[in-house]
Parts: sequence; structure tokens; C-alpha cells
Amino acid sequence: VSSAPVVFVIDDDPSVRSSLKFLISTVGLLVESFESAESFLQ
Amino acid sequence: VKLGSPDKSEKQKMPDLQSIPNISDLDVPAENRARRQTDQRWRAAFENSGVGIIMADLAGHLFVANTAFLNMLGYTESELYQFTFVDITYEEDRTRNLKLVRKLVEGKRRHFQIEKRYRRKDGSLVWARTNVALVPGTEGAEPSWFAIVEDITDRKRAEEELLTLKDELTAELTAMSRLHEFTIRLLSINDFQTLLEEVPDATIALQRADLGNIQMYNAEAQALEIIAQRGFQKDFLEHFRNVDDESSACGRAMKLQKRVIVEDVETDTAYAPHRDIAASAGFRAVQSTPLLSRGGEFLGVLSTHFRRPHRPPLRDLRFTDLYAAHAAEIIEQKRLEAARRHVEDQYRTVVEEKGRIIKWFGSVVDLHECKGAQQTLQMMQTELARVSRVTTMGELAASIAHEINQPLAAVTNNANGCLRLLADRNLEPDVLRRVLEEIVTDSTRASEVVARIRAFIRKAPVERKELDLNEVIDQVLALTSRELYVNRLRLERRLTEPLPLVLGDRVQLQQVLLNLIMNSIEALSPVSDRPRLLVVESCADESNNVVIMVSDSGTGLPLGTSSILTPFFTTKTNGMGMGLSISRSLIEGHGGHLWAAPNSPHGTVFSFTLPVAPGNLS
Repeated sequence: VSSAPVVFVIDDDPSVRSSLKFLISTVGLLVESFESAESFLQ
Repeated sequence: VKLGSPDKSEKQKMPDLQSIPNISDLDVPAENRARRQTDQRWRAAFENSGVGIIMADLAGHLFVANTAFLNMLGYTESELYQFTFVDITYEEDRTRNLKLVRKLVEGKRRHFQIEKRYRRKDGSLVWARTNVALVPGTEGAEPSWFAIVEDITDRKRAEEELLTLKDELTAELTAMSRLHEFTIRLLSINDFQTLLEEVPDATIALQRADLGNIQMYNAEAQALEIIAQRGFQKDFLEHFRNVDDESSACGRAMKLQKRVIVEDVETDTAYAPHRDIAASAGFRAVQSTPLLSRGGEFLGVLSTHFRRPHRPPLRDLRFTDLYAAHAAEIIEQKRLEAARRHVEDQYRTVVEEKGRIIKWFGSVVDLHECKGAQQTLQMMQTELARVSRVTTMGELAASIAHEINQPLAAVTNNANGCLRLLADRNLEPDVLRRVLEEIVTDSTRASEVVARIRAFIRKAPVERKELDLNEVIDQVLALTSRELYVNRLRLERRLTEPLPLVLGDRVQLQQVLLNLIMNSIEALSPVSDRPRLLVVESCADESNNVVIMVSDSGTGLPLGTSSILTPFFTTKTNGMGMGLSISRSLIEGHGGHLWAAPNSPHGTVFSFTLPVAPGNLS
């Protein structure tokens, strides 16, 4: 699909999750976040 | 020998005696005066003798008996002369008697002596020592049996009493040596249940009973519950699972707190509801001995059961009391152990989460060994309450850490992201607004957590009472004495007495002191090149404060001393960093101050002040 690197953020705390997603996106990386390891694997 | 006659010539006249009954008429021929006089003397001696005198023909038929003998057996002469000597001899003694008679007949002996029982006319028995001789025949007289019979019933009774006494003594000694063995065995057993089960066994052996059990008093249910037993089946155990009334022996023993003996369950009216179960368990008699603690508290009942109607003799009951005392002791220890274990279980879960409390609690366990059971139990409960309070603080601290950390991490991330966007001059107002809003939300969330904790701490019940801090210090030192000992620390207690009273919550101030002292102990434990010295001081300063100082010669503080009082600061690998911070909050809540300073040349001094209670001002 795409060769651009993607960072996966998994954290159960919505604030932490969204803030990390924002922080990583500011350095130009693609970010996908998940609430749990299970939802990430699915 | 016979009849007290000293020489043979007189003895040889004895056959004349057989003529005595025949010379009952007094017209004795006068020609031989001397002979008549001798006869009369013999007759008088015969009649007045204190011992019985009898004669029988060779077939055993009695034909002579003096008054003493007739009185001894309660017969008249004519009645007696219908019998042979065998007839009037007690059945069990006849064979032995006849064996000796045979020896005389065979010429093996001239006479014999036998102790035997005669059957009196009224059927009762009389013990007698009988000397028997075979009197050779003379002209006109057949050979005959001659016997002197002495009543020895009194002596025999005394002998029997002695024998009984001997039996009793033997039984007593046997019981004592059994008790001794039992006690020795108890010493070698550590498990309480095994110990308890030894008691019914030993009591059954002592009383020669058939079954037995121990019931423990359940104070909540006010009922007896079987905790050890020997020989009972399921139906009995089910029937007597909870005894709370007075129909059974054990129930009565519980109500009366005295021993109860039901000699026969079939005739004991109150026992009626249990007769069927007694019959199926196979007993007719029961004894129930209450188990009382040294303090007189009712702990349970030790019962034994007998297949036949029975009342255990006094000696058995006396020894039963000793077994009961053993059982009471075991139950008491068992309860104490259970209480201790209960406390320890809770303590362990505390320890798994908070390493620091371990050592402190260890000292509580030690107290158990030197205090009375009840007292110890109470103390442990108090200490447990204290531990849980400290633990709540610790758990609270852990919860604070997480609850505050999360939003703060989010704030940091978001702020860093904004900084990066600013650096890149990537200023999209919508993005920035959204992120800044998130920062506000998370900061608010963090401060709400802090507000909740404050509210919680404020809600904790605080009791302000006038306190002597020296007392509080001593209480905490007592709690930590084992720690001091184990770590080989030297304690200097420099307390100013009397110390003005302060207003405060005893438990909170104990927590503060405990915290400071435990900190010092931990700081001292790695020290090996100098004395491990812990100093606790109390004094009053000139501005109406009580000052407490805890100083050590320990490792000291590696960093500036100001940070150690802030929350989450810790130098320990297993610490939360909340202890000193909480301590400072508590002291400030009391209107005082807490601070730390380096000790010279080594270690740290922790000090706090508390204002003197109004009314105690100097």
C-alpha cells in the first residue's frame, strides 16, 4: 500500500493516546492509535 | 500347742473331750475325784474359750462345738450336728481344705492350719484360721478330727483394705505415668489438631471408657462444636453438631461450667431426646468435664462415654481434670495461633505491595510471645488497624501517582507537540486550539485528582486530644524495638520530662514518628564503619513549641535536603517517596513544622515542632 513508516500508539488513556498521536505527527510520521493490544491486532 | 496346753501328758488327755457332751449330767461317779475335777476344768476351759473348738468324726460329722464356735456361725448345737465340717465351709474353700485333710489321713502330717471362710447360718461368711489335728482313737473312742477355730474376719478385712489400697495406689501410679507419657507426647507434637485428638484417646484410656470427644465453645453461636473425637459415627456427629441446650451431658456442663455425669442415659430423664442416638453409638453412660482457660473462661467440654451404666471413680475424675486442663491450653493456643495467622495473612498482602512495612510488622509478631493471649490479640488488632491506615496512605499515594501521571504525561506530550509545530512554523489555528484545549482539560483533570485527595485526607477522622509526646515516642520505640535489636542499633533516648502537652491525633503522630524512625533505621543499616546510633530527643522551645528530633549517624541524604519532603521523592529502591511528604502534611495539619537537616558528621536530623496545647502554655 504505502512504504511510508507508520507509528502505532497503543494506550488505554484517551488523553495520553491522543497527545502522543499529536506529538508524533508533528515530526511528520504517520500515526495510528489503538485503545488496547487486542484492537491493534484486529 | 493346742488349747494352750504346754506339755504332752496333758495333750494326750484331749481325747477325753469327746466324752464331754456325754457327761452333761452331774452325777459323775465320785470314786475318781481327781479325774472329775480335771474333766470339769477342761469343760470350763472348753466352754469359756474365746476361740471356737470343734470335733468331728472321721466322716466329718460334727459332734462337739463350744459356745464360741456356735456364736461364730449362729447355729444351735443340734442344728450344727446335722452338718459335716465340709457343709459349713464356704464352697470356694472346700477343695483346699480337703486336700489338707487328705494329707493327715495319709499320715503325711500330724496337723495343719488353714485360713478359710465358714458359711454362717444367715448365709454370711466368716473368715477363720482353723488348726486341725487328727486325734488317734483310744479304748471306747473312735479316732476323730479336732479343730480350734479363730475368727479372723477383722484381720482379713484389714488385709483386704490394704489390698484395695495397694490396687488404688497402683492405679494412681499408672494414671500418673500415663499422664506423664501424655505430656511428653504433647511436647513432641506441633500440630494443634493432632494434639487435640490425643486428649480423648488419653482420657478414654484413663477412665477405661469406650468413646470420647472434645467440643469447642463457639461464642458467636453460643454452642458446642465437636473438634476431636474417637469412635463416633456420622449420625452421632450430625446429631451433636451444635449443642446449645441442657438436655445432653455436655450441654449441661456448658451451662453449669461444672462436670456432669449421666450414669445411665436410659434412666436420666433429661437425656431422653438423645437415647436413640446413644443406643446406636453404643453407650449408656457419659461424663462431661468443662474446659476452662487459666483465666476461667469457658472454652469447651471433654466428654467420655461408656458402654455400660457407669460412674467414673473420683481418682479418674481427678486425672480427667488434668487432661481437661491440657485440652484447654491447646484450644487457647490454637485460638491465639488462628488470630495471629489471621493478622499475619492480612499483613502479608500488605507486604506484597509495600515492602517498607514488613519490618515494622515483624515487631508486632514478637510482642505476642510475651503478652497474655487476649491482650496480644487486642494489641494486634490495634496494630492491624494502624497498618491498614498507613497502607491506605500508601495505596493512596500509588493511586495519586497514576491518576496524576496520566494527565500530566498528556499535557507534556501536547505541549511538546505545540513547541515542535511552533519551531516548524506550522501554525494551523484549528490544530493548535484543539491541542491547547486538551492541555487545559488534562491539567484540570490533574488538579481535580489533587482536590479529591485533599478532600479525602480532610475527611479522615482526626481526634485532637492532649498528648504527652514522650508517651507517643515510647509507644513507637516499643514497636520498633525488634528492628533496633535486629539491626544492632544503639538507641539514645533523650526525652525532657515533663514535656508540655500538645493537642493532637495520637495515631497520626505515631505514624509520623514511626516514619521518621524507620527512615533512620534504614539509613543506619548499611553503616559498618562507625556506631549505628539513633537519637530520639524531645524538648520545649522558648516559643511554646514542643520539638522532637530523630537523628541518625546513617548514610545521610545524597541530594539537597529540600527535595526530600516533596511528594514522590525517594532515595529508596522500594519506596514511594510519600512517607516524609505525608508526615509533613500531618504535622502541618497539627499547626507544626517538619524539616530535615544533615547531621554532623554523618547522617540526618529530622525535626518537627508542635504548638503546646492551650492551657499548658508556660
